[in-house]
Amino acid sequence: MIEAHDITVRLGQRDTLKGIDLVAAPGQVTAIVGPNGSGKTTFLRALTGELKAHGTITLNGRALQSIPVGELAGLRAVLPQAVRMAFPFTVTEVVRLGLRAGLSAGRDGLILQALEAVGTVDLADRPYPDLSGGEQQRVQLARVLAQVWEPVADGIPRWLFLDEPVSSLDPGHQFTVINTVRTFAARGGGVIAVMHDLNLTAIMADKVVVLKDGRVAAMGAPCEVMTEEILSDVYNCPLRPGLMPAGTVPFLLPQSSPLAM
Amino acid sequence: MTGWLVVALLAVSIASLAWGASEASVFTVLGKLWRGEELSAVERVVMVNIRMPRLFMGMLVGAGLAVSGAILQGLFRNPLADPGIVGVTAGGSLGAISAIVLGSLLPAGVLAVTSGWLVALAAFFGAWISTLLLYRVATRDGRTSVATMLLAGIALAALAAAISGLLVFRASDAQLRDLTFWSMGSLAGATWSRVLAALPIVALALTASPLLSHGLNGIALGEAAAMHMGVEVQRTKTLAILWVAAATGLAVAVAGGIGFVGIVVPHLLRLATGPDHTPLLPNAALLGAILLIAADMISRTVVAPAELPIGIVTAVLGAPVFLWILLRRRGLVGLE
Repeated sequence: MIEAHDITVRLGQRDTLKGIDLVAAPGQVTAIVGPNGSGKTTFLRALTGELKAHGTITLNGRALQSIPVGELAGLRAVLPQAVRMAFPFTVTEVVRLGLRAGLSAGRDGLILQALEAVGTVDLADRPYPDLSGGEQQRVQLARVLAQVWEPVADGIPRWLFLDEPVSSLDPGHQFTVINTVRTFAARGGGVIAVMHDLNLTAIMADKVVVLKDGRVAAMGAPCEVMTEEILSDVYNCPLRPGLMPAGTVPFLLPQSSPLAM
Repeated sequence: MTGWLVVALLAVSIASLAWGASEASVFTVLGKLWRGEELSAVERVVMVNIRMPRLFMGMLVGAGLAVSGAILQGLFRNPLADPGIVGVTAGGSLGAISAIVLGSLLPAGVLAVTSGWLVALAAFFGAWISTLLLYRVATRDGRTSVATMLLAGIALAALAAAISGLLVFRASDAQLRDLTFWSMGSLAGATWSRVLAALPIVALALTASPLLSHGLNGIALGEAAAMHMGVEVQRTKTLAILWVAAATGLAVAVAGGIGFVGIVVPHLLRLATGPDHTPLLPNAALLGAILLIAADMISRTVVAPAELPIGIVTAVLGAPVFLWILLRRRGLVGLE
């Protein structure tokens, strides 16, 4: 369980986050959405301990600050938005860095399995700096997966923190990655992901946190928060979501915007 | 790879003992020892008191400079960082010059305790302060700007050179003589006592290397990513900066400014075995030692019985490699 209470983060002269509460359960995918500049990435960075925040954050019942970084690396892995590397590490070497940081260090066979989970085995021997943005994103995701390969270790759930994990991917790889993330949660791990695309959020997340101006505007299952009222208010434009025929998964097409009427 | 480097180091060490201005050769010496004959006084002095300490000092300095380069590059996430290029050596030189010119102003008690070590200590502090300054100037939020790093290095080196110039200007004749010998940048002054004095520093540094390689691998992904992978980022940075200052300070104190070893060696090794710091740091120590011993052989044989400053030899070998990296990886300096 991750519990964050009254999280406030001040960046420069203004409060980027203003007293946010969140409870995220293992076995679920929790998505953070919101307009540009609403504080999504800042919130994720605060939850991982990367940014200093006022308020309390507990991970699996322990205060985040009290867990040494070495131990923390075995409990959770973090995918940043984009990673540039100065040296020509190969894809395999990049994933191995993640593997060594986690509890499965030494199980080299996991490198290929992690690459397979994000549809990237064919890139294994390529130098990382030569890859396209989307390919690099998949490799970093494989690295992060290798770090917390077993979703539950010794009865303790492990966590993935993902900052826009599918933003640069083509639709095929988006679905591969979403499937991998859902499987991780289904096997008992916890996932907190900052998402940009609301349609992909609707099929990936069990719970959605909508941020606006550093506050929580709405929180709940996708069909509870992706409503015309909430989305139109948060994104400051008229948006009318539809529902898939089964009736539970909402979607939003550009054609439903005022421009297409 | 490591095995081959050890063999090469042995080979170049034997060659270094065998060649020199004097006729004494390691082969005749070994032959005499084998046959149980007495060594002549000249052979004893040349081998035991001149070439051997020089060989070991070359190993220590070369290994120190090459590993310093690899560590600085890992810390700055940039293959162009080298103690000589980014002003660390200049800071060390300023420290050494300050010790030679101003050392006599220190209280007699301090002088007695630090005698023999004063120049090395001062060079260490000079190198340490300039590395810290450089890091503060060139790095924001864990990201280093290449342009800022190189330009800050130029500024730091210029400032250090200016202050050094001032000090030289007010130095006495005796101090000028010391400065001249020091600044010639040669391993000729190596003695057993100096080698033994340098050994503990190198031993400490070598034990710290495995700790650093894990941290530097993490930092290759960025400081935040490194922290998420369990790296104690601040501790790694402090250790890295102390390491570089100690090794560069030592090199500057015993041999003056020797450039480019720190850039050539890690670059060649990354081409051969990849950028992982776990094999890179020990291999850099070996190849750095090999390169410096070879450069020293060149410096004392091409114009024998005179000697070229060893920094000239390393610059001739290293500057083209620096330019080559710059041209091949234009993206690093914003040319792409």
